Amino acid sequence: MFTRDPLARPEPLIRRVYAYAACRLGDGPDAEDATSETFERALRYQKSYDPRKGEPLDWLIGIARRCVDEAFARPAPVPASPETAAPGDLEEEAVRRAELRTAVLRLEKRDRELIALRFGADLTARQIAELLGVRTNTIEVRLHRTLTRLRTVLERQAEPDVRVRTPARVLSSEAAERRPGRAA
Amino acid sequence: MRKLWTRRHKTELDLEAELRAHKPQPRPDFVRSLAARIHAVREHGRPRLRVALVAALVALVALAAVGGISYAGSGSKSAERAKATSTAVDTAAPVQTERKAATARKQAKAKPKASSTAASEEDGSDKAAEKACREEVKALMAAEREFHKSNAAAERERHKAAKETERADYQAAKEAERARHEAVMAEATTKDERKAEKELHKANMRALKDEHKAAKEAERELYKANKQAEKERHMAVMEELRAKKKACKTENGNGDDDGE
Repeated sequence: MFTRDPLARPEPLIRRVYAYAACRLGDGPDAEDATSETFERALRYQKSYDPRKGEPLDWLIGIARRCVDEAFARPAPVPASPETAAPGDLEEEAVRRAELRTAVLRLEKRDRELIALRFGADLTARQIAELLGVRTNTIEVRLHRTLTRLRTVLERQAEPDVRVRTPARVLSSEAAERRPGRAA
Repeated sequence: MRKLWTRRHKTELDLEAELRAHKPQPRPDFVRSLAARIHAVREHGRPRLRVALVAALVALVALAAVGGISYAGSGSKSAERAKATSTAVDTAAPVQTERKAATARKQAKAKPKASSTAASEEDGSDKAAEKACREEVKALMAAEREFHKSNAAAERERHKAAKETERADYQAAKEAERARHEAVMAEATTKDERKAEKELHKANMRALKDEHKAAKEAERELYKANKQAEKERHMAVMEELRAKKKACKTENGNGDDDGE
C-alpha cells in the first residue's frame, strides 16, 4: 500500500516541467502558472502515482500537458505593445535564443508539443511514445520531420524582410485562433 | 550523396544541441518558492502518518501489557497490577466494580461456607484481575475493529481514485491519438498513405484499449490483494486477542490452583 514519494526532490522536476510548459506557452508568467498548477494537482493526486507505470517526471508531464491545454483554452492576455526582437541591441546568443523560441512557437501545436517533450522535458522517444500512446518509431520519424520544419522556419526568419515575432504575440494569436468568434 | 547526408545529419544534431542549450529556464526564485511550497505541503501531510505510527505503537504496547498482565495474574501481586492497569485503560470502571461485586456475591453463595476469610479475599482479587484483563482485551478488540474499518475505507478510496485517474488517462490518450490521426490524415496526399494511417490508427486505438483493460485488471487485482491482506491481518490480530482473552481466564484459574 506504500508508494514511492514522487515529489521527494522537486527542484529538478520543476525545471523540466517549466521547460516543457515554456516550450509550448512561451517563457514567462503563463509557463510559471502552468508549472505551479501542475504541482498543485500532483500534490492533490499524489496517491494516484504508480511507480510501475513510469518515472515521476512522466507522471508530471502527463499532468502538465492537461494544464497547458487548459491554459490555451483560457482567454489569452493582450500584450501591452507590439513587440519585436531587435537583433542589433542584443548579444548574439540572446538573439539566437529568441529566434529559436520564436521559431518553436511558430510551429504547429503538434510539433511544438513534440519539441517541448523532447527538448524541454528531456523525455526519450520511448517515454514520449508511451505518453502519447504511439510507437517509438513513429515518434522518431515525427521528431525528424519536426526538426526539418523548425529549420525551415529558422531559415525564413533569417531572411531580412521577415520580422521576428515575439512569443507573446505568437501566443496571443494562437489562443485567439482556438476561440471561435474572436479576432486575432 | 553520403556527404550530403552527413551534412544534413550534422545540421540536425546541431539544431538538437542548440535546442538543448537554449532550453527555457525558470527563474531561480520561482523554483525556490515552488519547492518550498511543495515541501511545506508534504510536511503538513506527514503528521497523519506519525499519528498512525503512534497508534500502532500504542496498540503494540497495549497487547504486550495484556500478555504481561495474564502472566502476572498467576502471581500474588496480580490484583494490584490489574487494578492499576484497569484504572488507566478502562473508562467503564463503575459498571465494572458493580459487576465485580455481583460476581463475588454469586461466588460467595456457591462456595462452601467453611472456607477461610483470607482464601476468599485472594480468590476475589484473582477474579477482579481476570475481569480487568478481559475488559482490556475487549477494548483492544473494539479498537482493532475500528482500525480495520478505517483501513478498508482508505483502501476503497485509493481504489476509486486510481480507477478515475486511469479512466482520465485513457480518455486523454484516446483524444491525443485521434488528434494525431486527424493531423496525419490531413497531411496525407496519396491513397496508400491514408490507408496505412488508418491501419496504424486502428492498431493504436486497439493497443490503448488493451492497455486500459490491463491497467484496470491490474488495479482490480491490487485492490483484491490489499483487501485480502488487510482481512488476514485483522483476523490474525483478532485471533491473537481472543487467545489473550482466553488466557486471562486460564491463567487466573491456574493462579487459584497455585494459591491453594
